Amino acid sequence: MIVLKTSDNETFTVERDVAERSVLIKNMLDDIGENSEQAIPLPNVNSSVLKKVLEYCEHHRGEPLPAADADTSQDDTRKRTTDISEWDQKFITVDQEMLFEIILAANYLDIKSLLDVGCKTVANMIKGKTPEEIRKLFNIVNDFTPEEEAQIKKENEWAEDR
Amino acid sequence: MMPVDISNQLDHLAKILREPMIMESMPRLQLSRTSERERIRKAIDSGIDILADLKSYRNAIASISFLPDELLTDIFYKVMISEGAWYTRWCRLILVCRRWHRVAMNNGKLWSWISDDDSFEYNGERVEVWQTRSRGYPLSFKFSIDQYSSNLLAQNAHRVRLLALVGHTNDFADFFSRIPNFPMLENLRFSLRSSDEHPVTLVNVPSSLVEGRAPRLRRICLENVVFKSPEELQLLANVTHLELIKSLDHDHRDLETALPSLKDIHDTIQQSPALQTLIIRHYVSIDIRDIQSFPTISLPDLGLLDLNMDIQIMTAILQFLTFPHTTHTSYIAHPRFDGPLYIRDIKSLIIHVRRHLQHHQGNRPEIKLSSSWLTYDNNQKYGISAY
Repeated sequence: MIVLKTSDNETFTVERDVAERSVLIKNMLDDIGENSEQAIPLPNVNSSVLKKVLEYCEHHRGEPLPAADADTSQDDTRKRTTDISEWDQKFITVDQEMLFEIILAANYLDIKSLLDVGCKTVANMIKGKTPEEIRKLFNIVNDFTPEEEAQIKKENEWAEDR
Repeated sequence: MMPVDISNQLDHLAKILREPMIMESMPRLQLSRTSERERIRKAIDSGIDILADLKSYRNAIASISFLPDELLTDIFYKVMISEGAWYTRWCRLILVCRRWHRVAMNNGKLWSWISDDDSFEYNGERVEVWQTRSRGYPLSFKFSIDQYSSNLLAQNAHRVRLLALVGHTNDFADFFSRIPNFPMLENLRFSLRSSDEHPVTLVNVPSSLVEGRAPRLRRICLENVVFKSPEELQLLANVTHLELIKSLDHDHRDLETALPSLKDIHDTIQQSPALQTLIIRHYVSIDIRDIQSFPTISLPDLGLLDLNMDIQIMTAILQFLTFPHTTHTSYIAHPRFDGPLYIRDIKSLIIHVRRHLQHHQGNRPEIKLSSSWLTYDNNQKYGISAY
């Protein structure tokens, strides 16, 4: 069993193969050796986020890890790019703040498949929306000055504002 | 905590906003002076800039802004691919806010898909812009052949990763001769289409592509295009995606006679044991002497098998292939070339289809036999899909 310590000093005891879905943790374990009882510090992840991440790792334990150099750029099938399995979809149905926290944690812990699910979810949220709808969705505002906006539209006349 | 410069900007903004109020109490004569108007204009401009900066600061503390640039780029890329990489619709993302604009403009990958068809709203200037913004990133090109696209491709051949050529004419003939090498080319889609205005003549895939000029070629789709000889086809090795399609009708005798034999197909597949996708539609010459037994080929990574052809040829292919029970399969069998369709042909095909499914876990696989096409198609076809 492996002990993980979060930024808010909570500890989680998990099985090694679950923890090793994270390439970061796997490398740490390789470095500190088999028998260390030391808790692995995860200063960039808080307990509520780690709990969710471990739920994902537990569900996907035993599945082959995606290749490090896997690149979707040649997979010009639209479906595959934003396709998410049913379980993953349910798992990632969380509020926006948690969604971005999970993405950041997956990036930090180097869990490629989870990062992919997170990014696909955000991409699906953006898909088909106008710039104004996107701003509203993510609670951001148009921060261009009128001159900047006019210039950008001039240089990118094919970028439709709808 | 609010950064010092934002705090200073707020103070500055407050001062500016107070100034016009002071000026309101000034004599009209002073307000009409050019220098005063100029000063007010500058104050307004400065205020606009400061307001925009404040809005940027507000955006910076929105939760999506905590994602680093590389993840935001990845999300943009997924949006682009899912909405159609050959379209320009994704470009609206640069209008959302300053950060999204900066992130999109600085990432060559987003500008690396270039097409000359209407969906891209093609014009020379736009393509030049895309080419520059792609910043040396490997390119995906989709072109019908004309002088301009030939030149553009020649300039960028060193970084073309995906090349989709679609055309109606035989202009392809000397297209490749202008390009010495494709060192990055991984994916080639080469389609010849016919129309009333553009009758098709036989087009060959250039030999050089399988003779070392495209060493990274792994995904190939040929539609109505053939290699000069079966030997050249068999030089295709270690591909992961192979699509061989003949969609033109039987009137195109040149193409018909240039198609590979069943043995050529067998020997070609044998060169690529890591195939993940295999699609063959009518791309096999039909000759009774070809129907024989061939050594078995195992394709453990095969994810998709799509066969659409004469029922006897299809049965022969299934006889020499072994692949995982998880492979997604699609079969459309046409009546045998040398006589009417017999039930025994279907039985023979089903035996092979079921052989691949016998270890299938979970639900019992379903095999559909459809005869509905018989009603509208004299050229009898049976569709069998197994999943």
